[in-house]
Amino acid sequence: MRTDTTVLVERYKDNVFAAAFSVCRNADDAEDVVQETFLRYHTGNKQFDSEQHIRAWLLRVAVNKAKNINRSFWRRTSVPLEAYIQTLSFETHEAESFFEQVMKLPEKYRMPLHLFYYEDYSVREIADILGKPESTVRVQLSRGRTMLKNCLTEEWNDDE
Amino acid sequence: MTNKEKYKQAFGTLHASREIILEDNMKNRKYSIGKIAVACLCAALVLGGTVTAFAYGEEILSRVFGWSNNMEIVRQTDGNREVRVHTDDLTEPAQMEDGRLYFVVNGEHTDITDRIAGGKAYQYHYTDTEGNTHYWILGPVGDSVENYGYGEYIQDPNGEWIGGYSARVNIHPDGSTVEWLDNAKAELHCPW
Repeated sequence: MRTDTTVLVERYKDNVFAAAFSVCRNADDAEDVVQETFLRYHTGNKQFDSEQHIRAWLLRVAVNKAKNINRSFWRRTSVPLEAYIQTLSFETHEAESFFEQVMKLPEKYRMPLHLFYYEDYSVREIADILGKPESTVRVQLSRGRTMLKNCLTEEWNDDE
Repeated sequence: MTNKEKYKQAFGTLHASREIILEDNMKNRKYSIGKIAVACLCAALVLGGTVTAFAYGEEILSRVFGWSNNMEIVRQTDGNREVRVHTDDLTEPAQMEDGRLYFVVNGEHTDITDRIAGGKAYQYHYTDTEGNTHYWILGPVGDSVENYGYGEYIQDPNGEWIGGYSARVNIHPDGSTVEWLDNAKAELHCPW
């Protein structure tokens, strides 16, 4: 099956942006990733089993593109993360602090955490999206949680 | 509030703001073509028109340029997404001495005159202090040995291709270049 691209853009544009941002830590690069990801879907003819399959594919493509950008020189003049955070509208100060701490984590822990807590994916699904073994994802989730626990203390619940 | 709820509350502030442009063929990729045109123009101006830089889309474009020879890519995002390329002390990988061509990258001084005769390529690689491997490929682009073209492609310690460019070789619309360069890249499994 295939779903119309404009429908997917409407539904998942922000999800793709958030995933890309979690990797890039830069809004401009994340916007590029969003554009290229949906363009790639639009111009391709890959068939999918379901819309959930499409969503996972979009995120996988976005994460890979974001990682490629991270390795390039495009990011050298990007807006600093701290400056960009100031432009965001957080509901509470705690939410802003939470966001900042997550973005300080190493990328290899940020992505599994993002896919687990924001996108509600299972370890198995995260492993498929990131192209890593489930055991690796479990370790990265565990270490990411530990790091967040150390930073956020009372604001982070033990949920392993 | 659960950790998931906290996470979603914090990251729910992220929204993509730019309009997504969807076109159904390469020619009408307004978004990509604009960036490619600006980047290629800038590269040609800065490097005296000797660098051949080409890409189909943003993904390839971002890999066309590397950081060898003190070249640096700077992206200015002022709404028009202008791209500027500047270089400092660009160094040729080879130089002529007494009618012979010598490869001079990484402290080498290797006579490659006969090695690139007859349309063959000279290949060299080394690993830098960051663990990235640089692959150099040189070959003839004219009748005289001093008319050579080259490419440099960089692989990170994980084996991922992360940068590279070619100079003084014609790049066709389908991305193919001269046979010696294409064959060498194919052997390396370099994707560009």
